[in-house]
Parts: sequence; C-alpha cells; structure tokens
Amino acid sequence: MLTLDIDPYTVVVSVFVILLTQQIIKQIGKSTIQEFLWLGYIHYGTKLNFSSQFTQLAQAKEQLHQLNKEKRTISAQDEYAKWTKLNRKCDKLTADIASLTEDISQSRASIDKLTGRLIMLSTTLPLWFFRIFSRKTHLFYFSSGIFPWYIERVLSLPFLPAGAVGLTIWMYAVNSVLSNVLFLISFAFAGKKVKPAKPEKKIVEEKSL
Amino acid sequence: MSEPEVKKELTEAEKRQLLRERRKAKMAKGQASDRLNNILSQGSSVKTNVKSVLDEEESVAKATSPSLSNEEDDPEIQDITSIAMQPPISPTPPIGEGTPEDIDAIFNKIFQQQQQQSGDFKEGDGNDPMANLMKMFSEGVPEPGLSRATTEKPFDQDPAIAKYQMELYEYQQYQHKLWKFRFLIIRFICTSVNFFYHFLTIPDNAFRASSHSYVRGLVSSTPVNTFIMWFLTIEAAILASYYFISSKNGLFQTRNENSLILKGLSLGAMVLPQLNAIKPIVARVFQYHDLVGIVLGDLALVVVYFGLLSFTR
Repeated sequence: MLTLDIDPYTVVVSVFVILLTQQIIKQIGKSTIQEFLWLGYIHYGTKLNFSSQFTQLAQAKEQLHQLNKEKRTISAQDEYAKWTKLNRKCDKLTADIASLTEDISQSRASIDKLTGRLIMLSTTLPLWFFRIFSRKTHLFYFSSGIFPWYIERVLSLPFLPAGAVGLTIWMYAVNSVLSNVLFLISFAFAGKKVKPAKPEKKIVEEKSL
Repeated sequence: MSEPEVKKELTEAEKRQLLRERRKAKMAKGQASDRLNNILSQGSSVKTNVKSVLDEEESVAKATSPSLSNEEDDPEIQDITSIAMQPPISPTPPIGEGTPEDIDAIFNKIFQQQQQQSGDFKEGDGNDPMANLMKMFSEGVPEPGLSRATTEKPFDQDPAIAKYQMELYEYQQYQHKLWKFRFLIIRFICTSVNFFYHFLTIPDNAFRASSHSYVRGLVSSTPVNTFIMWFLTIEAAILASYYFISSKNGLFQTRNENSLILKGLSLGAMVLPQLNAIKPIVARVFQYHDLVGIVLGDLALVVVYFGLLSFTR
C-alpha cells in the first residue's frame, strides 16, 4: 500500500498553504501571472543581457521611425535615388522587426509554458501526492463531547473512525473557508452598482382613420 | 372623377386601342411566326424557325368558328378601362397601401382588424394567441419587477430597454452578492467569537483537537457541549433571517432564474408539460441547498480552526 509516515500536522499545514496558493492564483488569474512574469523577464532580461533581442528590436523600431520621418520630408520625384535607398532600408528593417518579433513571441510562449509548469508543480502535483500517500492519515481528533455523534460521523467521512478528520474533509473545509475569505476581500474592493433608472415608455399615437 | 382625368383616361384608352390594332395587323397570318423568330434570333448567329401559337390558333379558330375572329387576341390582359372605375377607397386600406406609417400604428391596425373579425373574443382571452400577441405589441412590454426583468424581454427590440434590463440584471447580481457579503461577515464574527471564547475559557485543554487519538478518552470537568449549543442557536437565527430577507428581496428568484437546471426544465416543459410540476420542487431544493451551504460553511470554519490549532497538544 502506498503510504508515507508524515507528521499529520505537517500534512495539515502543507495542504492549507497549497490550497491557499491555489485560491490566490485562481483569484489573480493565470494569464495575469504569465503577463507579469513576461514583463519581468523583459525588464530584467534586458538589464542582465539574458537576451539581446529586446534591445535589437527597440533599436530597429527606433531606426525605422527615423527613416520614415526622413522619407516623409523628401519628395519621391525630385530625389528618387535617395528615396529609393531609404525605402530599401525601411523594407529591410521591417523584415528584421518581423523576424525579431517572431523570435520574441516564441520566447513568450516558452515563458508561458514555464509558468504553467511552475503552477502545476507548486499546487496540483503536491495535492495529488498527499491524496495518494496521506489518504488514510488521521490528521487530528476532536475531544469527546465537542460535537454530537452525527456531526462527528459526517466529519470522519469517508473511511475514518468517528471523531477523526481526514484529508478529504480537511481539503473541503479549507477550500470553503478560503473561497469565502477571498470573496470578502474581493467584494470589499469591488465597485458599487446603482439601481438603473427605467427608460420612459414610448407613447404610440393612433392615427385617426 | 374630374373632367381632365376622364379625358386623360379616354386618351389612354384610345392609345391602347391603337396599339392593339397595330399589333393585330402585325400578327396577321404568317407574320406572328416571323416576328417571334426575329425576337428569338436577335444577337445570335443561329436563326430559329419556330411557329407562333397565334398562327396555329387563328387557323384552328377559322376552321371551327368564324364568329370568334372578332374577339380580343390577348384575352389574359384585362382592359384597363373596365377596372379604372374602381369603388371608392375603403376607410381601412389594406396594410402597406396607405401612406407610410409607424410600425406600431400598423400593428395597432392589425389588432383592431383582429378584434373586429373575432368579435366574440374578449380582450385577454387566453384562447386567442393572436389577440394576445397583438395585445402585447400594442401595450408594450409590461413593467418589469425585481424578479422578472430577465425573463420578459424576447420581443422588445428597443436598445434602451434592453440596456436597462441588462443593467437591472447586473444590479440584482450585485444585490445578491451584497447580502451574501453581509451575512458572511456576521457568520464569521459569530462563529469565531463562539469558538475562541470556549477555546480560551474551557480549562484542562478540553476544547482542543490533536493528532493523537488519546484525546478522545479524556474527560473534562467542564462541559464542552455549550459550544455546539451556541453554534446551532446562532445558525438557526442566521438561517431564519437569511431566508426571510432573501424571500423579501427576491434573491432566491434571481438565483433560480440564472440556474441552468431550471432553464433546462423550462425548455423541456415545451416538450413534456409534466416537467412544470417538478420546477417548484427544484426551486425549493435550491433554496434549501443555500441554507445547508451556510451551515456547512460555518462548520468548515470551526474544523479549520481546530485543525490549525491542533499543534498545541
């Protein structure tokens, strides 16, 4: 049988922390976290020279902007050679920008993938670990008399003796409490809504025949 | 009619007569076929060789009855002079032939005509769905109450009313969350005060949880069941007030309207009318589900408190 001898209180606290992390990620949103990490990668990656693509892209965009500005100041008919030269440079820069943008989007995709894996490693996998190896662990017992027997029976589901609490009930209880707490916090900062005013009814005038 | 119009009509009649006579002359024996072939072969290099029906009819008519030769050659076309003198315009012209009118006025006329035609039906009679439909068009959308805004809108195309109903729906959702927020705060405070009061006042660590099973055999001098008594009393008060406030504000109805199960039952009731009998039962089950959820939520909070404090032993 797959069981591990882990201190019950360690399981209690670990599961609590993991579920708290999971609820916070759910509240913030996975895409928001990915965006945040991506911006951090751009900011610190440029400073620490992890990748020179951002610098090259910024320089290419700046050059293109200058060239377009110069092109607008000269006439294509009067200075055809110069205009054509500038145009060729613009085309080359546009192609470079497109290529750099594609490389950066691939980096972005890899960052998003990494974020997803980190979230899975920090929340989903540990929970499955505890579900497999601590499913029969008695996390804690209540003192006699605190709850009537029918409530103790419910709290000991699915297979534990009355008075004990297992992983299933503990996870349900923690999820319930954390979702309520996060709802309280998020609603406190949410905007108020005012009852809308009813629009005036159209009055249909009957035409005299 | 006025004299110039009469003269104009006669002139037009004369013109038609002339045209008819010329066409007749052209359709003289053999020439109908030539004319037809000319029309068919216009613009193409292939010359057709068809025989006109008029030539065949003339020969048949002449063979059978010579008296028919004086009749009109194009019997389908009705003489316009015979229909020029129409009876006067009726007070209620058919729909679309009068001056351009507002769409609401047109529907009103349809409704009035319906009422004239079905004089035996009283207004609001459920046996006449057409009358009910026209009544709905003529009277407009009825005043939406707190719980009906999301259901009575399928026929209203006015964007202002649609926007109002959308905003009303969002407001109802906000009210539902607001009451949930208020009750949550009260529940958290009551449950936490009750728990920590007993946690701190009951001696001998009798009001504790532990990962060791020997705590089950320990007996305390102070009864510990006062906690559950207070807990159940507070829960009963919270449930009663929640039920009363939700019923008064229509929060249950708002929740039920957005329920997929009830919407599915409404759709299924179009096929199986027996499902209408189940809908109130399902709505009641949802209400009890809310109340049971409150009790379970508070019990979960107590379990979390016990679990996080179980290190003390």
